[in-house]
Amino acid sequence: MTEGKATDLGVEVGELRLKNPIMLASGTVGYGEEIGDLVDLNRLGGIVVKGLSLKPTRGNRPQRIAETPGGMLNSIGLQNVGVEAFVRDKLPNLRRYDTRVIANIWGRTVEDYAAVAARLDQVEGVHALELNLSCPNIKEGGISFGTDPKQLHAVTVAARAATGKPLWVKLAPGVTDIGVLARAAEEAGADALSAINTIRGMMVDVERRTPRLSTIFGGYSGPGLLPIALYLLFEIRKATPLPLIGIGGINELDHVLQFLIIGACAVQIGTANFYDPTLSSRVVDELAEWCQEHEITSLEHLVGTLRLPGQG
Amino acid sequence: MPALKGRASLAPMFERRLTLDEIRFLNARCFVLAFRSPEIAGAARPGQFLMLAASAGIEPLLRRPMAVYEVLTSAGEPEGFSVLVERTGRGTTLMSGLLAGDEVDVLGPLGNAFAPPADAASEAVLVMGGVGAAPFPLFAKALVRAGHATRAFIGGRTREHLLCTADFEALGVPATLATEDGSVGHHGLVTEPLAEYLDGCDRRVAVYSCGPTPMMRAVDGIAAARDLPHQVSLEAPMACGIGVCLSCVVPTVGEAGGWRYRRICREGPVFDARELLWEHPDD
Repeated sequence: MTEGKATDLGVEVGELRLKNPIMLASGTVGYGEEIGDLVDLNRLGGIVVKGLSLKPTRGNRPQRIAETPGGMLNSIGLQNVGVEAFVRDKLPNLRRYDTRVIANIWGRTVEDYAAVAARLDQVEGVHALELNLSCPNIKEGGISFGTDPKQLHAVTVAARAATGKPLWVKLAPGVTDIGVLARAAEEAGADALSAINTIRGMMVDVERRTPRLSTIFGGYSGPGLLPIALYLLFEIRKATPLPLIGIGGINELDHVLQFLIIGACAVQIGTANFYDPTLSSRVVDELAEWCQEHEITSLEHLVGTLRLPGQG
Repeated sequence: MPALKGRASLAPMFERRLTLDEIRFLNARCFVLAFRSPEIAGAARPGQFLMLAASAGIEPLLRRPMAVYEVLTSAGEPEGFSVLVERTGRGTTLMSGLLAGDEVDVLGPLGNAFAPPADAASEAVLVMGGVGAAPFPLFAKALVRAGHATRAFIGGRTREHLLCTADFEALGVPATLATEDGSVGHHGLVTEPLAEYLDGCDRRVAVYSCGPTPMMRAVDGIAAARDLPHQVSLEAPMACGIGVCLSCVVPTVGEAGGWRYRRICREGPVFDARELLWEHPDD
């Protein structure tokens, strides 16, 4: 290994500084309780908690997961304890850690989002909010917040008005032009974009001739998502100057580096927390080693350094 | 590396890459995987489970939940453990091809454990179907050591599907066998000799079951009709085994006449049968 200067792995997502770019994605680590028994959360850049709604949500009936080639489907149905119980019962434990806590929030109406954002606005120990837009808007005929630029704009404006905390918008992949949605979020006042959420998929039980999931389709995640996420991040990078957080299929350091080179300033590890729960902390060590070997003293010198054909 | 700190109420769990000590086939479909790990063996309680990777790569992606079958000892000290696996799909088929010396990622022990009968005079009646027998020899061993009268009812489709009979024999635990094809023991369902035994039994009994859902549900009907305590060990597909993916939930009795989902991996796998809702409340 080359003896170089120690690398500063710190990154800035807008105004929010992370000690390193490795975060844990929403829905894969609960509220940090159980995963905290396996991973020292102090070593990570941040943890994004399970999507919070105004009221507790029971979630979908089983069967909620199905394994697939290259990944898995889930249809948990956003089961969560609700924002009040999160603040009262879950956050005190998270405050003990020297890491950033990002609250992923969702609702079924624009007002729901604004109410959850307002509830968390003055709460100590929540460092940013991330809008989960995978739900349909029940007041607007079930159009998904995440796929319609007007809906996305409206919900982001409402959340923006409700909180002064950094506001991240998590983009969904099932759209024709993700750049349009990225710009809608930017115009509405988002501080950063995270991408991507799961992509819809289904699997069939051949013997029973039934869908494997109780809800027929679910969200596909896991290693197979990587190239899709990388490409969509590339498209988003072209569409907006906002800070980006890469999510999708990260299974090793090389995948983290690919996101950073395309232009993400940080990443979230998701499904890997299920099958390899200590991956995140190993990747932090490996990233430091890789940077030292490549004489990179700051990640600023790596982020967005993608060289395209014809650019030398 | 020290034990991972759990919440005070939970035993420690370990995330380890272990070398397979031995693979032993019980029949054409079922096999035992044995590992050396004093820390996991020392922490494991009857009824708990482990998450085992089926391959070194990412296909298949998810680890498989497996009940702790044996705690292996050396000079009286916990030295290793084993799991009993039935080949049913892609992951377990890959596991059946493991060789001694192969490395396997293991997380555990996980979940809660069977609770012995509340009063010392009760007989523990263990009812199992197929590979659902896996957690019971370890539990029976603990019960016998604690002086509880213990009895096993073992069911399966055929003689081949009856597991762990030799384990109970070695412990001196009487076992009643039942096969659906009549190839050995009672010709029919295991619940039939169970009901007959309980009707003729004049001592207090605590019932435990693990196996196919229809069997456990039938056992529950038999136990409830006689007002007997009944603990059930459940399984379900799960991604993480530690309580974060929320995929292995089951509907259970909640507060004020309501119901709520509980996680098999965290609040289970062992449940008091009175807490379970066999019919989904939305049906």
